[in-house]
Amino acid sequence: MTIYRVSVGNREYQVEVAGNRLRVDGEQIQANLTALNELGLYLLRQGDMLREMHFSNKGTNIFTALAEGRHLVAQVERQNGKARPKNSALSQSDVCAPMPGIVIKAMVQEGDFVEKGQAVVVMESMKMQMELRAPAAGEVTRIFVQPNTQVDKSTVLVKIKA
Amino acid sequence: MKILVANRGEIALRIMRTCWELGHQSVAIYSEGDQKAQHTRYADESVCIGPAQAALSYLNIERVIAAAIQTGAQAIHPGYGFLSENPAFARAVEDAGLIFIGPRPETIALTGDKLAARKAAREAGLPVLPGSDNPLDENQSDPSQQAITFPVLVKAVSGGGGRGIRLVHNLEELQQMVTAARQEAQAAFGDNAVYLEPLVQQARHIEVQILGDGQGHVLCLGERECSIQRRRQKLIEEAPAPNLSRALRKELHGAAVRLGRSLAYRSLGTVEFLLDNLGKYYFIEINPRIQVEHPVTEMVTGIDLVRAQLELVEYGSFKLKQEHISPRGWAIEARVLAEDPDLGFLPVTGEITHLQEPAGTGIRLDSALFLGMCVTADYDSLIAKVIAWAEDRPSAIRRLQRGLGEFKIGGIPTDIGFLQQVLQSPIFQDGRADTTYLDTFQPVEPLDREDVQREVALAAAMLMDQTQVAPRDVRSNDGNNWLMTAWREQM
Repeated sequence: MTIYRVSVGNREYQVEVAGNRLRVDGEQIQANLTALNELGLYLLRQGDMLREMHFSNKGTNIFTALAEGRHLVAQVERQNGKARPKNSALSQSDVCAPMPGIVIKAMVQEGDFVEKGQAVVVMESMKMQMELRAPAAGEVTRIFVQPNTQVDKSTVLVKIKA
Repeated sequence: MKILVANRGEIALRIMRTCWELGHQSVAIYSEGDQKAQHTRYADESVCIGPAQAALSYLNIERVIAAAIQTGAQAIHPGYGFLSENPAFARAVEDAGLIFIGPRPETIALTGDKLAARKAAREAGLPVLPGSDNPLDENQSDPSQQAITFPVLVKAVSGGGGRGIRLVHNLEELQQMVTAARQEAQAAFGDNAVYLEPLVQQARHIEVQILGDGQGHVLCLGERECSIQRRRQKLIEEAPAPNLSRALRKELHGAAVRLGRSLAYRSLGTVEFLLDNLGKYYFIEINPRIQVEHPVTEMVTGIDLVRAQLELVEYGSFKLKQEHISPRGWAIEARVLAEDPDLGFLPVTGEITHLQEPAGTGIRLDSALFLGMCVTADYDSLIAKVIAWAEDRPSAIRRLQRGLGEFKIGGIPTDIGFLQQVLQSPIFQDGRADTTYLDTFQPVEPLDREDVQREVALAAAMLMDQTQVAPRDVRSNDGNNWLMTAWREQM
């Protein structure tokens, strides 16, 4: 069983997954998820209830979801359980683009140790330049930044292993 | 006939469809940003005319005309926006020996000058708002020398499309607003002349569709109500106008036709009026082009307006007669915008990662969307129009709600949820909205749905768990591709 912390829009949930047996914020649920195509369209079935959803990846653990006409951003983080592989894909300290814009440059290199709050990326959006900061202290494991590249909102730019 | 469509997106596609039906060849012009666009692919021939920025491509008169000559096109349809109301363009088209599908250049020049248009309307016997026919004197340091009743609007003489308008509440802010309006007008329209217009309280925007043959015969194709506007941009339009007496309807139609006749108007035009809360109406302006909201007129009359324009060009006169024009039922259009209502309708950009389009009885979709299309900041945020026709207004509203509910667009936020809220509101359902309605609009139900968020959370966690990789991405730009590859390498 794996525990995930999921934020969707302005809310957060704890979801425990063990195959088709699930718990959302402690409440037991039976559900299954089937892919309707190879392009991110899924069907969530809960008893007699069906919900069509579309997911597209915006970073390693961030998706934009379309469900019931609502456009939502979901971020999923694994909380526990299975030992994380050495270079875990799920890190709690990713620096993501807060809005669409252009990445100007990275201010750190892979292997650097950064403090919480340290500026790591410079980007420009809506005619403003801004510095994106590390949400936690740790080692910079990957930099997905190329100068003068356009990025979407929520694109992961720097991975930090806390 | 070979026709070059000097536009892009949904309207270009729409015009080309009628060209096809009538056996005319179509030529598309496209910018580098529109290489994959539907309108580019639909036409029989396509010419790239410049970079993505409109000023360098769709607004470049020389390139547009060169494209027509190069392909041997005989006529040019300007669509709406872009060069459609530019008299220099219309003149250049005709000087090049091509047919401009629209009014004469002189008419376009007249309608583009709001004061000249006002004067022409008054001379044709239409009621106009009180005020001067002359622009505000630049040299007059104190415009308050004129007797003005507040609140008043400062409008650009060469303006249009709801832009270049400032609302002034009192004498104190007049000078500052006039200066600001002049600056905006200069920047947007190249002319800083402004004039004052009294504000009509609780106004309804009602416009009348006309079609003229250029020789004094003018047909009336009915009116449209366009009062649902956000910052003077129309969002929902319908035909016919609700809660309009037969007498007033007849007067509006008659006034529009009278104006058309006095101008010996050629091709399609829309005469705009404001209706106040006392049932008095005033001429505002005349638009010398096909309009975004033309489908509602087409749905209730059963007439293809572009076909009417093309037949006029081909035969020199109408095939249509006024007695053929008899509106039936009700049509309502909703504009789908790439704007985020949660962020104050901020225009958004992004890739369309999922697309499911509405269909079924009485639903029309005017759209150039396709899966994988990139919405950019280069063009207007209007990405599609959903139009519903039904036998009566409540059924049309219900059908439009169905259509919008079926319309699934993934990858970017849209205003679809907001449109649904407006359609659901009692004031809209009663047909009592005026142009100020959206200024203070409060939805009946919040857009927030906790149950949906919960389900998304559940599904997202299951997805993560199921595959240990993220869902298949729809390949778009190389940046994302590279990101995804880098991530997989770590596993």
